[in-house]
Amino acid sequence: MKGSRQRLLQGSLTQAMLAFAQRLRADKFIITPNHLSDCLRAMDLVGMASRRRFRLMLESLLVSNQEELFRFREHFADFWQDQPLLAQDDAPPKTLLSREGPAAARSITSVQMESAQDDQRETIGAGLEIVKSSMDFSKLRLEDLEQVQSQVLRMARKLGKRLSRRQRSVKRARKLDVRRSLRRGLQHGGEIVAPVFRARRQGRLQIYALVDISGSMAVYGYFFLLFLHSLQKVWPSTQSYVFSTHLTPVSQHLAENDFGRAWNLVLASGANWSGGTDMGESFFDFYRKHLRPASASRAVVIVVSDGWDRGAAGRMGEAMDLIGQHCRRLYWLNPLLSSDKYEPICQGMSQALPHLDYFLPFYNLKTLEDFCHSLEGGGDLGRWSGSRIWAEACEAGQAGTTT
Amino acid sequence: MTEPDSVEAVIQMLAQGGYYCDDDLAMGVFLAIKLGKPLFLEGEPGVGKTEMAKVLAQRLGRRLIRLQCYEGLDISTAVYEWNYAKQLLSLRLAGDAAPGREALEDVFGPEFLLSRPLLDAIRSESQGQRVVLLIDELDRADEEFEAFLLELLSDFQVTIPEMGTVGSDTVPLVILTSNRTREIHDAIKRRCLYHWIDYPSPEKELQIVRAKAPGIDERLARDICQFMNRLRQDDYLKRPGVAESLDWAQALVLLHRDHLDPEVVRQTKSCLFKNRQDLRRFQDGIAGYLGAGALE
Ligand SMILES: Nc1ncnc2c1ncn2[C@@H]1O[C@H](COP(=O)(O)OP(=O)(O)OP(=O)(O)O)[C@@H](O)[C@H]1O
Ligand SMILES: [Mg+2]
Repeated sequence: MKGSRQRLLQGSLTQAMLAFAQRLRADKFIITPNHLSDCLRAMDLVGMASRRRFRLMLESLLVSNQEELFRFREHFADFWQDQPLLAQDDAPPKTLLSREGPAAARSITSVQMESAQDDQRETIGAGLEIVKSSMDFSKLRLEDLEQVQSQVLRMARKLGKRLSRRQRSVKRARKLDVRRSLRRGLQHGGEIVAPVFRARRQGRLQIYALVDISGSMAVYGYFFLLFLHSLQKVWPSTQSYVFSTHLTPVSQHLAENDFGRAWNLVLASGANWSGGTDMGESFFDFYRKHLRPASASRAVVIVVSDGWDRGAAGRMGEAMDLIGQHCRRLYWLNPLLSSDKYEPICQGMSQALPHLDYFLPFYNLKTLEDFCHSLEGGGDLGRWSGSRIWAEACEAGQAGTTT
Repeated sequence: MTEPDSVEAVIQMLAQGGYYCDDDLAMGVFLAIKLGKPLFLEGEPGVGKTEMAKVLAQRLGRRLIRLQCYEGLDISTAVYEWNYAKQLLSLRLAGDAAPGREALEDVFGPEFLLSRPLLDAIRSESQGQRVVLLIDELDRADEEFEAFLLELLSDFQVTIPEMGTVGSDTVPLVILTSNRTREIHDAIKRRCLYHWIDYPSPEKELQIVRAKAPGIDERLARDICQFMNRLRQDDYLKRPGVAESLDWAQALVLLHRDHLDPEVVRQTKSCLFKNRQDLRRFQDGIAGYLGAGALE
């Protein structure tokens, strides 16, 4: 468990820290090797999921008077804004499914699933269930597909049930709004026709899911849409979208009974596969046209993407900021979090991170389940627990279990 | 008591002790606990530096050892001192007019040593009793003492020439504070985590006032915090801190007030300012501080 974290902290993050220290030194900060090792230890403790916390942590360790504090903040904003932690990550990471377009995507069930590595299977001992729940979606074999799909279905149903249960207890507690009931009644000649209840701060969750189905994401997008397809049946207000170069609403397609047909409709609906991903534009579009201001207090927005943005720099951050301000919780599920070498502060992700409430991995059944738990957990408890989740996710990717 | 394992847990823990802070100060505390580094707190008077250490010790279930600094503070007051009277008495009881080497060595043993706060902290830790060591208002001590402290903070051991070195496996949780009447030497700060405590936001201060002036009228509490916030934007020789807000709030509660008006502010102004120049300046500003715009 310690091992993977250790590795996480070494490597690129250490390099970035060294570069940052160098920059501070150039501005007369005194940074000793001791400071650096404290920083790395502290990162391990605090995690990296919140930019604000990350800044506070470095401030605490590297600043030694008020005047330095102001200079430090400028350096921090400047340096950690554009610093892609993984210098070698200029190209999007390759997944099994690269950018071949709809034809390839459509055939993932038949082709890609077979190409899973056999050696991975050999390490599997007795617990087949566990293996399946920890196996990366992109490495599944065809014969596992059915079982995994039914697991996804089960999770969606369970989540729907949990959410409605929560909803029922809220209903019982709701209060009659006498004034509005009367006013409504006036429109009907003074009779109270139907009671109006006061809106509760924490009403029915309005789920919005934005799923990246550009080339690098297609396998994961497929499984998340499968999840949404089932969720929509039990939680009908769920609104789903796919995006690559632009945003397309797909809830009407997901209403199809058979997911295979739904998936084909989604693919045919004009999502552009060959181009890169323009998240800024897609997210602005979502914010302007689809995110209803009235639902802000109960809106949960879920973005599923690896964060590789080809759009104009800064656009995506702006859009995420707006969305973040107009929803109750903002999730980002990222398949790349499966790798313990991955740092969330890479190109596109770095703009989004400060606005997220949750930054979670999504690449297998286990991570999907964790996400469901987080979602049904409701409240704002653990709102800032992203750091821990991230660290744990990295471990889980390695060890498969967390406590 | 268990150590907090996150910044949230620190915020919560301190709040349970009636101390309200944001994640910035909590981050410093969290890292101090986890990394075993001293935490250096700077800020204007009355922003809650001392109180933080007290509440922290209380909530962690550790003994608080406080070293109040002042000009002329020396090692014998801060670290240890031999109990000469006891030594003399002991030698006389032994009856020798000219005591031998052994007898002399005896009286330089632990029971003749008077531990002062710094040694006390290290000894406590070495006996397994965890402590919070508060070195308060370091800016008031001399630089000579600072140099000594620097050494202490780097290895947490004290060498007593007659007795040997006293150290401990665990380090005390050290909180240093300064009002910034002068700059503390960089070498010390570099050994520490640093946090600048600002005046609290009106919202935060409202939390504090509610907690520390129980029974206060809600409107009055809001008025006070809004008023203080405006007041602190201005240049005074000594700007009132949270301590003053609380004094004032308590005075107003005693006067059975439920809101602020120019008259009662004038009556109670001595809660906020002590020197004449500030008081005069304040008189002219009252109307502006009372201006509309209530805290939500
Ligand atoms: N964040 C806070 N939460 C609760 N009480 C607070 C807070 N900040 C200050 N106080 C109250 O304000 C008063 C003054 O705080 P304290 O004496 O700790 O200030 P200080 O910064 O040490 O000032 P000085 O520099 O004058 O020693 C205390 O009575 C404390 O109860
Ligand atoms: Mg004090």
